[in-house]
Amino acid sequence: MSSERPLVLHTEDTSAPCAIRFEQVSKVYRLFESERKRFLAAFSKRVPFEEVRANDCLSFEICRGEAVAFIGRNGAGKSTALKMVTGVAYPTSGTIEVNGRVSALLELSAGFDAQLTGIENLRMRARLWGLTKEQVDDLLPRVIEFAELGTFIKQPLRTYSSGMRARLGFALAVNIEPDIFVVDEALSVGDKRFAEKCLERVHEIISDSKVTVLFVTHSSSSAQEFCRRGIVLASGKAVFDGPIDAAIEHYDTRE
Amino acid sequence: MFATIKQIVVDNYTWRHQIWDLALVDIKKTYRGAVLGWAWMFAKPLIYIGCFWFALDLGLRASDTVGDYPFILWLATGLIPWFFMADMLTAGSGVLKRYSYLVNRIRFPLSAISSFFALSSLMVFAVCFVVMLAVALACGIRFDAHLAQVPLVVLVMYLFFVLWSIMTSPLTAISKDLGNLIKAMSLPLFWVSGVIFNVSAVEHGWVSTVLSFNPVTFFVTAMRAAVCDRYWVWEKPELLLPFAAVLTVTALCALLAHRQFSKGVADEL
Repeated sequence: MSSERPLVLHTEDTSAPCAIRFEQVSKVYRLFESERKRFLAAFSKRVPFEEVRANDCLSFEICRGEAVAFIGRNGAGKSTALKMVTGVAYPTSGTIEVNGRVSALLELSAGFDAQLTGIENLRMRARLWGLTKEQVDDLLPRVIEFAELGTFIKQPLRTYSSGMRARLGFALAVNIEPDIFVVDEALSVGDKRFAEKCLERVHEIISDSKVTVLFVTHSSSSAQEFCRRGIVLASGKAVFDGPIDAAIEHYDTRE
Repeated sequence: MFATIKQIVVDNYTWRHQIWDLALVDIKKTYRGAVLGWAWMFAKPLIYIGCFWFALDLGLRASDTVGDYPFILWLATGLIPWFFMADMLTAGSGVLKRYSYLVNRIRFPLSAISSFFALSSLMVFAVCFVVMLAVALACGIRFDAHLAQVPLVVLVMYLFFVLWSIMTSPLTAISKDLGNLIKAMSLPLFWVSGVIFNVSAVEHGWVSTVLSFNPVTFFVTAMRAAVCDRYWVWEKPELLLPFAAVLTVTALCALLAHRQFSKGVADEL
């Protein structure tokens, strides 16, 4: 592990040709025997722990407008890398540069407040994402229409089914016009008709040349459908980076 | 250290609109859902003030330990800030757990979580306090220039408890023990801090020396200085200096905690 301090740079500069850059990024999770040891470790460096390297010297660069698939098995480090792209997790070492606003379709219903209504949740999330009041007012009708929740949009979120929550989350994530769009594979939101509408919208976003897309999957068919380039991850390392067909072949032969 | 201060200030400035929105939404959430809604904002203070007034003034006849103003005014001036402080001591130290979605689902600065939570508590406090002053005025009590130090005291109180929250919230996120300890200490702190008795009337000298390092005692006394006892807080260095020391230490610890834990908390929750 390099001893240099990690560097994370998030900007909203969409003119930079590079959208996402990872340089020698490692993310180490520390596992402790007990809660007590975990607490003591906050104050002392001598507490023993087990290290899990979720990302291990991961380097890649994604240019603006590119659509790249992250391929790998469960535990290969895909989610950790995405968390660092969205900025909620910090690397243990290495450099991360993200230029542009990130919208993530990861855990759709996470981060909503059960006490607030659908509209209030949308408003709050859009504000937290960095939109001004005017932009939010402008955006909301589109999101509400997309979510197709009817009168439920004015009800507290605790009355929603899990499918409805996911629809709300999806509707917001695909309509806020992100610079960088992060999609987890779980695209089957709601019933068949709604799922088709979602796929169509994701296609639309991906084909927009200004939007950079990171697509996470462990299946090959959807990766081929959406992306031209693939990065294969295994035990936290990038083991292959190249055209999508070759990446999938590489992934399949390793299996 | 200066980099941490700068980061906290910049974060709070950049996200000021969101902090304001979150604080408002938080208040709305608290009082919605009940049929009486906003009335509950006043119900709790009224019940407490009424109860303590009954027990202390009518029951224990403690009212002659304070000056020549209604005992109930003296009581309310201490209790209303106490509700804010109690809220910040317990809930304020657990904000990262409470709003964990702002930590590990969305990119949002940790110190701003403390700021908006304190702000929402402070707004409830401000409304209650203004209503109290209005009622006092209506009852014929007149205030003088010393009342002007209220905003200043409130500002310092806000700052202190934001720092408190920044200092303790990463630790309670890591350890449940600290959260439980703080909860267990909250009620004892109420009884020893002079919220419902006059600290200056305590006859043991060392007791008031110890209490002068208690920030709760300082804020309660300072509020009463402005509203009831009518002197300037800085006229009494024995009151101000110990608190200044506590504030400095808290600020340093908060900065240390922020520097040490802010990047790792998302992994712990």
